[in-house]
Amino acid sequence: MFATRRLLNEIKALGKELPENLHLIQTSELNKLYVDMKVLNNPIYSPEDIYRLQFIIGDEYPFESPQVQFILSRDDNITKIPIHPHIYSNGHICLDILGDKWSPVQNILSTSLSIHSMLCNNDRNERPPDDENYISHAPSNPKKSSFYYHDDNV
Amino acid sequence: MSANDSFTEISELTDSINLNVSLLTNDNNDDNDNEPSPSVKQAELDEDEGIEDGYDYIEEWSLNSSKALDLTVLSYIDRFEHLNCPVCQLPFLDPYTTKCGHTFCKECIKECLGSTNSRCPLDRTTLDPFNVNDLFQAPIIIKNLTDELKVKCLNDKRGCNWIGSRWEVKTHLNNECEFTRFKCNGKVNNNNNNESGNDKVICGKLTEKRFLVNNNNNDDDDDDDDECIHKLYPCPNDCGFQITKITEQRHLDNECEQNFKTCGGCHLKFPSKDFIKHEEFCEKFYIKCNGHKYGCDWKGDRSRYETIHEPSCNFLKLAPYFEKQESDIKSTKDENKLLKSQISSILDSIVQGKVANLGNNLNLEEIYSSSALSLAFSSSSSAYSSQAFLPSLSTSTSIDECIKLLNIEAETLKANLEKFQRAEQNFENNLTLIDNFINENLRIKEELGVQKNVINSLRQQLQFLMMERRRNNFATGYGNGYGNANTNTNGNRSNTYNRTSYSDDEGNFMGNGGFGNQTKL
Repeated sequence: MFATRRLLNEIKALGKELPENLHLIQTSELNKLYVDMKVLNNPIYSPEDIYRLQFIIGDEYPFESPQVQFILSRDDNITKIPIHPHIYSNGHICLDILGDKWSPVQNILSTSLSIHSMLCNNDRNERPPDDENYISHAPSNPKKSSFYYHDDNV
Repeated sequence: MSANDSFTEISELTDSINLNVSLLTNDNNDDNDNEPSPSVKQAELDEDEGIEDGYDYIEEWSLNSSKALDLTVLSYIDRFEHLNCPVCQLPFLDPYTTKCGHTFCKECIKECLGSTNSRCPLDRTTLDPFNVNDLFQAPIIIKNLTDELKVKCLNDKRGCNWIGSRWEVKTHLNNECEFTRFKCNGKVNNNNNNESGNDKVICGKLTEKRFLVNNNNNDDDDDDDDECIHKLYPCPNDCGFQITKITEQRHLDNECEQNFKTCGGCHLKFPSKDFIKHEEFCEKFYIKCNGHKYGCDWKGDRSRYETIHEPSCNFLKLAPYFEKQESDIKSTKDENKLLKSQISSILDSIVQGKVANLGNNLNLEEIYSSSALSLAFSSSSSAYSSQAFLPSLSTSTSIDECIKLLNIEAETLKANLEKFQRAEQNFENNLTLIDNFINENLRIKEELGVQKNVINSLRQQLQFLMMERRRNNFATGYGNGYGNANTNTNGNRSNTYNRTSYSDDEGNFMGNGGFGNQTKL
């Protein structure tokens, strides 16, 4: 109940204060949201590409982090998984604030902005070093995999 | 893959609709009207008992406290970002503050600290939830501020228009609100237990207060008089419906086919449920002129309005002008408000001792004078605003008066602006003065440098003289032993002495000879 109420509150606010490069898409389920983002000022990413971030919000939200990952849309092939040394090719994101550094004051907007700025500031056109190994036996829920944080510099 | 494709297609198509399903569940309750009435013709009784989404009065001592007053579902009229708990993003309820200075609702922060390792959700300071030094009640002023926030009544979905401060909500719901549901204490026949002697039991259905009022007010508790308002009886118009006291009005207005009403224009009879629709189309129906809000008091039937009155009504001709005036006044008001807020923020920053743009501290005198000025200004502006506000409440006040007030306000604002400009000019003058001083300072510094050089050269010369004198003393002392007094008293810088000393003891004082050569240069 608490989760739903806050979620509705957030969605209402998101309609007003979402920046230009982000776009909120609601699905048939209330607790599943997409945020489409474009990265304009980084030569690594094409400005036309759309990266779709999927939020699945659990009942314990905001005390538990939501399940966040990049996905490919199934009906068109516009969306891609962005290349980044912390983003696996199945869309899973290695980011501490999605895991044990999650704080209840974070919300969908702040999380989207964090990930967007992570892309904007990226200067390495590569996947994580253990990408192949990881995606071969990654769980479907990224929250279930315990990430080893390779380096904090990127 | 194709199945997946179609799935997403459908889901994307229904995106907007489906969201609304969840957001607008309350509206859906109204849609229940469309359901076919049950086989027994009975007005929709369930619906009339009120929408579930609202407040039901539960006795304090009742064990079932699940529906006790829950303030988190309140909807707020005005919200201030800073009074919102960062966790639930709603205004604070029972605020608690951490030792790092952040404030949360009591429930929210307790939940946060309970679930993970106890750190402040905002800056991850380690907190001990059981230590009163780490987590303590927020200053009372925060509680007061949040309790003052205006909220809608919890029963607004049922039709209550009440708006008030948050602290008043409980009193309103329990004592005033006509839409709060109470248990009906009417007596009904007990069909199940006829053997048990007492054939009347208390109804107990939750019913909105507005329906109960008639019943609850007669305090004499004579059992038989207290008839339950949920009791069904046939519609007096013989339309075949079973109605209760609750549904009576609605049934007559919206459902009953036999409840006729005569149109004032065409004198035909219509069931009351179709009456509003008829009013829209009836040619003979009396309507008001469209210009009535500007003062036209013409009334007549629609056909005459369109053909005769509309082309000739002076008020209608003036309507665009009035509308323009209204919008002008509104925009001026808005602008005025903005200017006021800007000026007050400027004054604030000055009183605090710094102009935001410059970041320089002002002199004490200036602070005093400007604070005095700001006090004078704020008092005058509040006087004006109260003046301006009062007439705006009464719609009857003429437009001219409003404009006059606005003009006065604009004048005061202008005067203030001029004051600021003067202060700025003073400031600029001071700046040029300071510039002059700096230039002078530089000049003096240069002069000082020249003087220093002169002194240095003098010192060197003096040193040289001293050396020479000492050497002369030396030379004469080792030489012939006379003329000592002579050289000293003379003090002449002539080379003749040097030469004499060379000629006297050339072998002994070669080094001095060298020095002598140098100085001669």
